[in-house]
Amino acid sequence: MAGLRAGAQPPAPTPLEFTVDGETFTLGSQSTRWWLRVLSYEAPGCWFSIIPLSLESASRSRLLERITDDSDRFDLDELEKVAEEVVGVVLGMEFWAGHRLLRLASSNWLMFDGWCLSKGIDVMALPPGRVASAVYGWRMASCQKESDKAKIDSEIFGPPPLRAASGRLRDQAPRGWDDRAESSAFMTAVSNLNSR
Amino acid sequence: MTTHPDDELDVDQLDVLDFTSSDFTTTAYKKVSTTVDLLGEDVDFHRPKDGVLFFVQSAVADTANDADRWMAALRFLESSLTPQSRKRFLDRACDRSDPLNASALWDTIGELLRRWDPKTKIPASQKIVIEHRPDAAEGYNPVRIVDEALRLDFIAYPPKDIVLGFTGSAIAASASPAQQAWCVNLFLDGSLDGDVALELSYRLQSPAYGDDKLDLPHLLGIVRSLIERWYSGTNPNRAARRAQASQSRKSAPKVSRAVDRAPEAEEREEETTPPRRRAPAKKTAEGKPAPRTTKATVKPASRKTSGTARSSRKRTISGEFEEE
Repeated sequence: MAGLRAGAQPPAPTPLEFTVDGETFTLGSQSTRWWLRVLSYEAPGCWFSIIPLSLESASRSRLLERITDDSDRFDLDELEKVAEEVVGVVLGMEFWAGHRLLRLASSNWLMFDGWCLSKGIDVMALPPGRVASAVYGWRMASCQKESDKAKIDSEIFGPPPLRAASGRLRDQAPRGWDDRAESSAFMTAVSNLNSR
Repeated sequence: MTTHPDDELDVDQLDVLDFTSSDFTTTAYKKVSTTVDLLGEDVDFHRPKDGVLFFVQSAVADTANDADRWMAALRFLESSLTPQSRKRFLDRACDRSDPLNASALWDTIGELLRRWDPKTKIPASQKIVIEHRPDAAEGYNPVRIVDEALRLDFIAYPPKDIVLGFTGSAIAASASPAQQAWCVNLFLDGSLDGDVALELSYRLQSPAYGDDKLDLPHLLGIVRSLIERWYSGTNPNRAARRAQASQSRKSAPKVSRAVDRAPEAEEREEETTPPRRRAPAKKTAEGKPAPRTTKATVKPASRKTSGTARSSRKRTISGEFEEE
């Protein structure tokens, strides 16, 4: 299952600059609390709140103008791809994996924060990518068996939502999701079924 | 306390991510259009970009406010209709004898959003038929607008709810002067008789028309007053006010004196004795029904200025008119 985590890398710091068709935009620094809040939203709110809504006014207006301009090929799904990539770099992993991890932290805050405090970690002082790593470590620490770890891996690093923001089916598997990973995930699912 | 790793980095170390639209893997989707039988007239709607549909979907949700919904509807029409069909649509919206109303608009948008949803299996080309539903703004009475200084004397009829919605939301949303001018023209087209609307529009666009002082702010004030009177969307307490007025109608005098007032008090006006129900028709000496006359009075909210004008220019908005 290591293939699923292939996209994980040291998270990039913010502010982070990115360009779309030569125009430069900057994703600013936000508090950990803000990241926990926006990444707990359902899609598309989880990425739309970050890019374009959290960008400075002119940048936000420019991207919103592009996705509504009939003469521009840049549309909602393209904006989603940009947001996934940029936020993914800040999270140090696939966007949807980071989204699932931070949602996990928000929905189990007491347990997660308590575990972090017992390890001497102040979660609120960490950037979002480090929070995601801490959540992953916390979940793995609670696993007794390898099959449990594999199950959590497939849940966290599994494919993105079936449909993009436009409602269209996504046509690409996430990074690291190859035939081997799919086969491994299938075998894990079968073993989970057999163990019931 | 853990050190925030970002604090240790210089600005020079920032990464830059580059994206180019042509590199995106999204397949170009073909343009689709759907024909809508809009109350007996076929209209071709072209599917706008996903970004537009995304905003429209968010705006037509129950949680969205009224102004956002109408602005989203305008954006939808702008993106999905050709200039010619958009003009025809707005002409129909302004035509008080045409059944096109707000219900038809929302039904059309709802059906098209469903039809163009990628999850829908019905072909986009399949025709949609929109049935007529009653207009929410029906039942209001016309108002006579009189302003001697501006040489205004005309009767404004309640436009259809679709015109009230578009103009009410755009004016409430602190629109730009150009948008306000557009809204005023739309409202006048939907509220006045054709020749009166044409004359006002001409006067508005021709500043050198004799000594004419009429300008956009004057008409904007009148339109705002009329919207306040007729459009419940801008005043959530309107239903309560109308109920209260209905209760007090029995004790209120049938005819009230029109109150002269300053133009700046216009936005605060209140409807005190709204003519809601028809009294039994009077008959002439020959036994034929006489023309019915109803008067509505508009007076400023401030009691201090009641009965006296605070400006040399007086404006009267009286509700005198004749019904068949």
